[in-house]
Amino acid sequence: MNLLSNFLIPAGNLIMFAIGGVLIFLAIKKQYEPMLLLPIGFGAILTNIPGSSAIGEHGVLTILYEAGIANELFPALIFIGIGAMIDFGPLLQKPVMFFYGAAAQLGIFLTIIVAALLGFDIREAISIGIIGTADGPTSIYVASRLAIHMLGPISVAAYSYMALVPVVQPPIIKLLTTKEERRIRMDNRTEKVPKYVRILFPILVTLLAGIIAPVSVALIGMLMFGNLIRESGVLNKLSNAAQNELSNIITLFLGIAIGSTMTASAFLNQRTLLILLMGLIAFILDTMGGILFAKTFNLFRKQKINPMIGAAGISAFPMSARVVHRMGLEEDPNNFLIMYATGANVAGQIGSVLAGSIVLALFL
Amino acid sequence: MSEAVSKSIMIFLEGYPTTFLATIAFFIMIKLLMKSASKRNEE
Repeated sequence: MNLLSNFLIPAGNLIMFAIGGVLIFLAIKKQYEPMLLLPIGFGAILTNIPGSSAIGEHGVLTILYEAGIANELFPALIFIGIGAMIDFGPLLQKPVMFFYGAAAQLGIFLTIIVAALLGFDIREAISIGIIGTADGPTSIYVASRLAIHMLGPISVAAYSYMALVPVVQPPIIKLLTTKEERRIRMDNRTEKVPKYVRILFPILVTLLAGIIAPVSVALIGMLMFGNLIRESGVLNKLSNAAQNELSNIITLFLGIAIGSTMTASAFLNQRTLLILLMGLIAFILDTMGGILFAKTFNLFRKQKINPMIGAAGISAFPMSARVVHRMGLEEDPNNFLIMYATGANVAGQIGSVLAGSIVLALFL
Repeated sequence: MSEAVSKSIMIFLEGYPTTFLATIAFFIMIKLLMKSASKRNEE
């Protein structure tokens, strides 16, 4: 066998090496979602080495893919860790924020229509629209159910735009709000949330969401299971394990297994560019939906809510809440929006899983 | 209009309001929980 012939690498594979390299660069140099983008980038390189033993029937990446992505196991498990990390206290204190978390899912639904208009079939269109959940595991879960051949670009889009929230959201917020609106101060008085409320919350949310959309149980159920472990107060070891070991290990496997789907033939086409573009559109429309809802809601409220908080209704947690809080401080150094914005942000976490499940329920 | 487009519009018209309705249910649930908590505190 002439090993020198191995150096004749097809151009498509070389381009994929470069794309993998760019993802690794963004992860290390720019710190854009490094936990996901670095493994995805390296997975893409491993996959595109001609004759790679990492993929194929006995390839380690293929085994990981079959074990955790094709059957939707990894995204569901990641939700246990996310649930254990989230403090729903700000939402329990300001439950009105739930509406903001729902409003900011607009981008999902509108992007599905745009994708369908661009010629994607309905399964693909839904998977693209779900990038607008601003929630990686939900995007992966839905894409692996409906359009697994597009999993690579969808995951890259979802995680890239989540990392780019501080770049994407501020111009839209400024465009849709006046200076006076951005300076609206919020009442930051807090109410103590009793422990039993914190414990009942994940159980009741699971029951309600499950009744509304049974398909949501796998995701909401795992999210709320993680949160119940956290709030129970008697499972600190498990809560820590879910937040750290479990999340880290699954994230590691998830990223590199997604990278294994990024073969040159599957990734290098016009549709990938369209998916990346529509992911951005979904994030923009989500932000617009949240802000416009907040402004409309204010028409009926005596005590106005700073409409920037609407933008935090997307699920990119906690990035979006921080962006809104920072913008509030820029307008008025004594305006602290963090509690409301965090409330909207964690509501967006529930809203995004719910919206994704409702879309699945309507389709399946 | 293609089937995908009409289906996507149907998903929007049904899905977005349903997401809101679900959050209304969550809102009422939390309000009731917090109300019962403050009643307990008063007692």
